[in-house]
Amino acid sequence: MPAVEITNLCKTFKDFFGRRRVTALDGLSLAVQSGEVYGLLGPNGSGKTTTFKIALGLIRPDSGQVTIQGHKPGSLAARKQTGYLAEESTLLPFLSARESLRLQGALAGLSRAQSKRRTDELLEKVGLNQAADRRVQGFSKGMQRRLGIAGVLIGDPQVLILDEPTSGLDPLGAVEMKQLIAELRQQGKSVLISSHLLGELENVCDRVAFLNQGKLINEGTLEDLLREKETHELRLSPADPEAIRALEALARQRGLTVISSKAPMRSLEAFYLSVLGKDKPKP
Amino acid sequence: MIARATAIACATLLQQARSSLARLVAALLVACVPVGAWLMGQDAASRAWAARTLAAEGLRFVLPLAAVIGGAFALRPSMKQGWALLPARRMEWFFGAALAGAILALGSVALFAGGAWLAGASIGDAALLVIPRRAALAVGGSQSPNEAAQTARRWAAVRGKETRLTFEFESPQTTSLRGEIDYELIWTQEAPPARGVPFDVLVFAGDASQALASQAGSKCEVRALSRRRAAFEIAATPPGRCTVLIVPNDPTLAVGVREHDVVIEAGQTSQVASLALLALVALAAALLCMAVTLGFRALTTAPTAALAGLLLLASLTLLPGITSAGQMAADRRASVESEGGQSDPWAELENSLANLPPLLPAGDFETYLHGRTVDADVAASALWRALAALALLPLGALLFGRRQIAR
Repeated sequence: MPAVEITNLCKTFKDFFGRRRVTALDGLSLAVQSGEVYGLLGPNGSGKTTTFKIALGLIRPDSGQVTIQGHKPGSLAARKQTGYLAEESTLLPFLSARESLRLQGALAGLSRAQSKRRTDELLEKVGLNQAADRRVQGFSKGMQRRLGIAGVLIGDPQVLILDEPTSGLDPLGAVEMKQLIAELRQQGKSVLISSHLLGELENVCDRVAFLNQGKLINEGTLEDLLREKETHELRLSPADPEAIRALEALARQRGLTVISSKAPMRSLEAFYLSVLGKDKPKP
Repeated sequence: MIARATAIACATLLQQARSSLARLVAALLVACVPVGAWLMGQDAASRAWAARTLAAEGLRFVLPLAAVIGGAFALRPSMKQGWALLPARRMEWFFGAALAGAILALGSVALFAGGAWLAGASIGDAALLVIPRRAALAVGGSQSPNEAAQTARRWAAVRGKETRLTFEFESPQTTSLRGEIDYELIWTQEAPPARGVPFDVLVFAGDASQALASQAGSKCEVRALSRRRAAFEIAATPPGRCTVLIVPNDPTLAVGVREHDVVIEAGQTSQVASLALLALVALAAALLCMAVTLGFRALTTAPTAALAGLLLLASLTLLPGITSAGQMAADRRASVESEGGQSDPWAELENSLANLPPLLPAGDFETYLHGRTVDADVAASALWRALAALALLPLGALLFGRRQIAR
């Protein structure tokens, strides 16, 4: 059974007089398997957020259906199985980080002792244990984001819906978030991500879907979608100029076109991490 | 469900308590009556009146109004508020918000009433203890024929069959007794009345039979207040069962008095009980207003819900006053329209609207304004209003569960 199954979903927003204004979803069907990270891509107004809202039970579809671990969206069982991280902070500003997590733990049905234990664990995990008793209103956007993800994880949901998970995070925070998503995948959780930063999705998603005007345009694994079958990239180490010239000559001799041959550049993110000394994996 | 609703209510209250205006509002609630009374009054009597007025009007009008506005904005069904996204059902969110609102209203009322009590205590204002009517154990005198027992006027005359009217009551431990009597007269002879007040008032310890046998009562000082109203006063009354005798003293007149026309006040007491009762009445009314507004808010925007709540508040407080179906109007109308003999559905609707129980019984607030103790019976009606508010919540929660949160 897929963790999230969306079948022929349609939703049209109407005005006060019942006239059709916007067709947000038009027969969308997709399935997210357990232990899979699934990315939703598309321009503004393509229906990503509407899909999330229907999956969370906030709005009802005109037709079609969504199941979360086999449960109807909005039901308590579905809500307990779902963790949602909104693009903007939805935390209560006058509560401390610890109180926020305790509240979410209580709502997720944890006992007082369980809630306390999970709160301490998650504060440690997202690096907020030093700020645990500070009020959320004084947090930076990145800290609020990290607290948000801790809140999502406190009830140990099987399905995570993350809207722009790296929004507001510094490069290091973004890398940590991606590491966290990878950990969640290893734990067998299903993650549905929407992001405008295509590079972010590229690194973490198993499959991606492209939406436009409420329709599914393309779907597949990153391997299937991104592999360039007409070209080939070869990296050599060490960069010996003689050997490179010889290889280029051999390629031309075989009738191939050398499109590019240059020293590769590191990404700015990789450089930033190396400057901070965070580029090496944790022991 | 209860645990989750309670958790939501606790978090909401914590949010409110930590907001920057919370302490200022709490201080204002406590201080508004004492400061207002001090500013508005020149001497102790006028300050006492100002304190009672501010307290009564604050409880009667401002609190339900605040409950309507608060109820309209207590729920914010949008994704940005976060509650929509938490792992709780919509119904639990609704109940949590309602519980938090009720606790806030209770706290606000307690602070306001506490301030009013402080004002009264510092000025030295005290309430007169009105002996409850149910403590009147028996009424004696000859009853007019064709009158209901409850509303019957009893008659006595110097040369009549009954020469005195008796009212028994339980007197509290007190130092003085005073009262007012509304009465009616019938001329029995062709002669003008000889005195301003055509009866004496005597107070006896014990029940009526003991009083009549002992003939050792204390005569009260009696003075006319208006055309058919007299006041009596006596310095000391023994506690326990007492009897008031109204003895006509003008041979030309018969005096008629109804049970409800005799108001007996014994001594002075603290305002705490009266304030607490009025606070309870106002709190129950506020909760009812808030429950209705929350119900509207489940379906509409906050301004629409506030408007609907205000209309309801205005209807429930004004309808009995604005319909023409008051007792006098109804009697007059019945006498005029009886010839037609056909029932008018509009008139019936008007009657039924006029018979709606008022949201805030004005009489109890007037009693407090007059410096008298409020009858404890009002607590029961307040309880009914609170129960009505409680009964409305599940309906609102169901409606809220069906609401779509698009933004």
